[in-house]
Amino acid sequence: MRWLIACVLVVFSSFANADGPLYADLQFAAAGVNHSNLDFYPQFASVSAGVFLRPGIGLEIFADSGLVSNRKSGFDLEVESAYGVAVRLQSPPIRRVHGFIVIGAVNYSIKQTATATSILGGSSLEDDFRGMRLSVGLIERLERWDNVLLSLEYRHYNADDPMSVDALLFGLRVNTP
Amino acid sequence: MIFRMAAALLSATLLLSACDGDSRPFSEAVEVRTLNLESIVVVAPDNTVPDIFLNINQGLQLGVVGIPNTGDPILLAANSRAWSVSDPTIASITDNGFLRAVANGAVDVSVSIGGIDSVGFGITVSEATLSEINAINAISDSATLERCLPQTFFATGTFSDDTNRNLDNVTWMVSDPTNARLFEISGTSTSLNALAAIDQLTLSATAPGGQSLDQPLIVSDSLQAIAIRPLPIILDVGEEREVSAFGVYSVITGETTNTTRDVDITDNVDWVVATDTANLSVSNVRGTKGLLTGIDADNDANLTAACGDEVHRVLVDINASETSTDTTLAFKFGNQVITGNQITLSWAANLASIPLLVATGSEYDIANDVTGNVDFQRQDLTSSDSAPFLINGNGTSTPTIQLTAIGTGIIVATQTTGGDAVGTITITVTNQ
Repeated sequence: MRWLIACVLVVFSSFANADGPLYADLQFAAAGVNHSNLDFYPQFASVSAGVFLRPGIGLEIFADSGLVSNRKSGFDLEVESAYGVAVRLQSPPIRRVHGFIVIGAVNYSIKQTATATSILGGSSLEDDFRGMRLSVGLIERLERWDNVLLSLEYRHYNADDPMSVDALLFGLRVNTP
Repeated sequence: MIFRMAAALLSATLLLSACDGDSRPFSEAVEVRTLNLESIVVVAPDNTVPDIFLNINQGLQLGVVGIPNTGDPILLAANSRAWSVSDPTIASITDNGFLRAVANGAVDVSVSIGGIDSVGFGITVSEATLSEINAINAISDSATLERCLPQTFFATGTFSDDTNRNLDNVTWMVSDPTNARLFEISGTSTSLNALAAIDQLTLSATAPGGQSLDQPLIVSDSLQAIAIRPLPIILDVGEEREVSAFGVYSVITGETTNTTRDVDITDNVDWVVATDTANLSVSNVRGTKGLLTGIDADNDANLTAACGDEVHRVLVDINASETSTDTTLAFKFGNQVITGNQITLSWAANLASIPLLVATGSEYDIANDVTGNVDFQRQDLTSSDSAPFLINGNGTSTPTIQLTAIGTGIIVATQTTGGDAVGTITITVTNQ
């Protein structure tokens, strides 16, 4: 959690001092992780920082940190952390709303713990996965603060079959003027 | 330049799209917990001799059995597991448990599932040649064949190093192929169905080197009759219906025939539409035997199920579909439309509740959905402390079933309003 706070501070301080086409996002994610016919709904926070290389084409880094695990059938599952790099393709605004697609590579860690029962002992599993990140979403520029945008995003992380990892994210973006 | 860079980044990203990581331990942990497994054991195929010797390059499919805290051992899927061998220079093994002998020597095979490691399963690789076929064995312990109750046989041989091994390249023959049938034939085993054979048959196994063995088999005359069920059979044009054939077998204790027993022999009899073949068809292909299809309502048809000279003939009443009303209910479980009247569900793969939907007609169609107007009742076919599944939400528009134990049960669905259609489906819950 400490590194997440540090990242947020770095991102926002860089925004405060920057005068180029930089941007940063802070998002809350409700994730859905499915395996073994069990649906887990953990939550995580995501920060990203990037630069628009050309209008509508950005290069960014991102990092996630688990907030809340979810329990199903005696198992707790959490998206512990994630980080990666991605390319953002963003449309021109229509009534202050942009659409975007983000494609990138992600390395993420999932932790699953089982509580002990009277029959079986507890267990804890943690594994790293590396794959593709794909996001689609919309951002809307606020009228009062021109450099602040609201974002809504669907994000998919490639996972080893039969596990699937998806998330719905809601957050704020700040752009340099 | 920037576009080129973006394209390069996208290409690199796509190259990375193949995921690296292993989700298997996560699902195996759930499997271990769900089945209450305390230990796991590597097992050889059912018909394998106790001490396994293999020639170089010979393969063997291994299996894995879970030992639960209570209850019977459970056969687990061998695929996509963490199999390992103690010495990869002696034998290799795939993620699916298929072992291949590489060089002479002894090796231990083990598997790990959800954090549980099996004890080593010993296999010896020893290159040797077959000296003689020493036995033809039935997988069941019965020494007698009953008509239309097939048995599976395998052969073992003595090798040049004095070891006793299963044979995997045998040619099979039966002495009276007119009245007895070999099927599911492989180099390892064969199944034999005595249709009209009397008293005795001889099953022969011949190895590629010319070694052979004849095994005389006694054929019992216990089949008394065949009965096609359920009756009567009333079918619409275009409708499919599965019917079964049951053999009535005498049970002999000592020198007297005490009673009879009924055995489902649907897959072992010959199905024929005896008259009016333009009106009715029946499948005689193993796996779908007894599946009827109404073709034309021009006339009724006669259907027969035969085992040699034992025949049961019934009349099938075929109605024109446009004038008939649906009297049957068809099922849908989750996203799976059920054809036929039975389904096998994996408990491990269906831990969550499964939505249950029914519609009038022979196949589920949402346009004919009557789920909210149907009463569901469960009948258990296996004797167990736990029902194989529970029906939740009966009487609502969103009923579900929850798998709860290994076993077999029937759902009887009865339309309560808007009609009187009835449907049944047999559900087998497995651990696979």
